[in-house]
This record gives sequence, structure tokens and C-alpha cells, in this order.
Amino acid sequence: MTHDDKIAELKKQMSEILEISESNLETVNMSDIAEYDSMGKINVSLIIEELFEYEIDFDTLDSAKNFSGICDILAAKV
Amino acid sequence: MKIIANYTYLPSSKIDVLDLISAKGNVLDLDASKMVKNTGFNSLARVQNTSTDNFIKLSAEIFLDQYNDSDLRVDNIIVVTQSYEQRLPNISSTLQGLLKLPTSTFCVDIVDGCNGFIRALTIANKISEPGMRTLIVGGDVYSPMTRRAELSTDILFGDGYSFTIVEQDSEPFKSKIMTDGTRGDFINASYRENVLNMNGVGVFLFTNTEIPKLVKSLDWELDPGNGLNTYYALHQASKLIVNQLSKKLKLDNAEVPFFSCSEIGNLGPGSIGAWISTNSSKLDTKANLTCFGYGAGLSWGVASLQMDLKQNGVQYIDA
Repeated sequence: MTHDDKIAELKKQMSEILEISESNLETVNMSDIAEYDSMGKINVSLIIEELFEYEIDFDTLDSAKNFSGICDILAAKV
Repeated sequence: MKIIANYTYLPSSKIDVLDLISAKGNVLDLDASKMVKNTGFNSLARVQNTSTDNFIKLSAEIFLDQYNDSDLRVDNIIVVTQSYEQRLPNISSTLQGLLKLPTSTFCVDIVDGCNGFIRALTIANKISEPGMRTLIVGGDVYSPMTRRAELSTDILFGDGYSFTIVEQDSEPFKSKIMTDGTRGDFINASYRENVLNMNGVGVFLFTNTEIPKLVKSLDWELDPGNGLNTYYALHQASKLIVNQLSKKLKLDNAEVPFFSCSEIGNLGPGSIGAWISTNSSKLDTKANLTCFGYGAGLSWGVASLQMDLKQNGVQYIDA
């Protein structure tokens, strides 16, 4: 799976667990997604770990303000 | 070193977590069910109206009754708790008197959380000559600290204590304890405010990363391969983290569940003792035991020892 494939899969899975459409996920701030609470963040971290074999820490995850921010982190770290 | 006895003392009263969520939070039923499913805690052991100090005293009275006087030979007492109300005297000294132990008994209290059981085992090993026994009392009465905490914290913690006796022998004891004070604010409570604050996501991510790293760094095998079964006792923080770690570390406990405190709650330094007690009918009495702790500090650790359990069980106290 290429990096782009993994990003596409991440978007799909995040959209499912956060109960938001993929197009909306690309535009909204993470803080505006109701399901991006403690459990939402933990689930996103587990998806990232599974897809990218990268264990994200709290400060890094929390620094991402939107989906694009998460992608930037993954591009830099993975 | 080996564990020869282990009792867990819990208040007879419990609180249903769904009721707690309903009473405290403005949460939809579906979300409440999700919360319970993720934490794994259906109900929490909660004292009605008693302090840590008093609950330990009540536990000690029953412990003394359960233990035949001639068998209760203890050289050291280590109490691990964070929720004490009485500053002086320390609880271990009070226990020396209550348990009618000799004045030569070495008594020490440690203020520590969910890695406290591993730390106490490590200290017991360091201070014991072969044949010496240490009573480790671990746990907390958390409810006064969680009552005003965020709902997501309140639904995790129970009240109770484990009383574990370890005996030093010639069998190897291995442990490794780590600390990262820079992330200490992830779990905190001040004496004055007495409210437990927790960054649940931060703690989960730290545990999910650091425990596997720690295991990789060990210079001993988690399963010594000595012919005895090896059980893995993980601090019962929540079903989510326990299942995640056991899966990630590829641990195998055969028929014994990794998470077994769904009707108790997280007892902090008492949770591994509670796991041993709640699985008393499933565990071989003679076995290897590898324990994992992780929590306040932040601190995390692992300890491998043996069990030769003569006594083990759960006792409920009207308190």
C-alpha cells in the first residue's frame, strides 16, 4: 500500500468512526467534530498505528487542528 | 521471590456505571453504552462513607481473622496508596499494631499509583533475605477524589485494597521500573482540591507506546520456560488498554481473562492483586507471574516472579 493509499484508507476509517462524511472531514476543524472526543482520539491513534506503524504521542496528535494537519504529521514522521 | 497469599477487600456497595453517567452527565444512552463498552467497567466498588485509613483497618481485621495466627509471619509491611487522609501515623505502622506483628517489623508507606504494586514488589525484593516475608497492601479509596472529577475519570475508579504476602526465596525475581516526570500532569490530584484529573488520551498513548518498548528492552524472558504456567497480570486500567496491550505484546493467558475487574473498577496499586483474587479459581496455585504496571508519575514497570498461593480470594466489607 502506498502512502497515498494509506491516507485514503485513514480518511475512510476516520470518517466512519467519527461519523462524518469524507468531504466534511477534509474541511472542518477536529475540535468541531463531536465524536473526536477521548475515545475518538484513541481510535484515530490506533488506526494510524495500524496503517502507518507509527505510535503517535499525545502532544503530536493534539497539535493537528484538522485532517490535513494529521496528514502533514504522517508525511513528516513516516 | 514468590506470592504466597493474596486477598482483596472491597466495599459491599457498588455503583452501576450507567446510573452514574445518567446522574452526572448529559449523555445520550447510546454514548453511555459506548463508554461502558470501552472501559469495560459495568459497576464500581464504592465505599458508603469511610476513609482510606478506616477501610484499611477494617480490611486488616478481616485479614487477621482469615489468616491463622501461627502462619501470619511478616517481616516487612509496604503500604502503597495515594488517598490517605491521616497524615500521621503512617498506615503501615498502624497495621503493624493491628496485625499484632513484632516491633521489629519494617514499615513503610509509598505514595504511588497504578505502577505501585510493581514498585512495592521491587522494594520487597531489595530489603528481603531468603525466608523473609513482606505484606504489600495496595489500593485506594478513590471515590472522594473522583466524585467531583470529570465524568470520563469518575467512571473508571473503584475503592478497595489488596493484601499480598510475598516470600523471598532462591528463585529469580526480575523487575524494571521507568519514570517520566515531564508527563506528570497527565494524572494529578492536589491534597487541597482532592480531585483526580486525568488526560485519558495521553495516558492511553503513553501506555500503548512505552510498555512494548520496555518489554523489548528487557534482558530476561517474560516466560521463564521452567515447566510452570506463566500468567500475565496487567494493571486493570480499562478493558481497552488491557486488551490492546495483551494483543500488542502477544501475551497468552490460556483460559484466564486479561481483564477481570468489570464489577470492581480500577483500584490503582490494588488492581493486580484484585486480578489475582478474581481469577482464584482459574489460576494454577503454583505458577510464574509477570505483572505490568502503568500510571501516575508517569511511571511504568514490569516484574516477573512466582506464585505459590496458599490463600487467595475476595472479601466484601460493609463500609
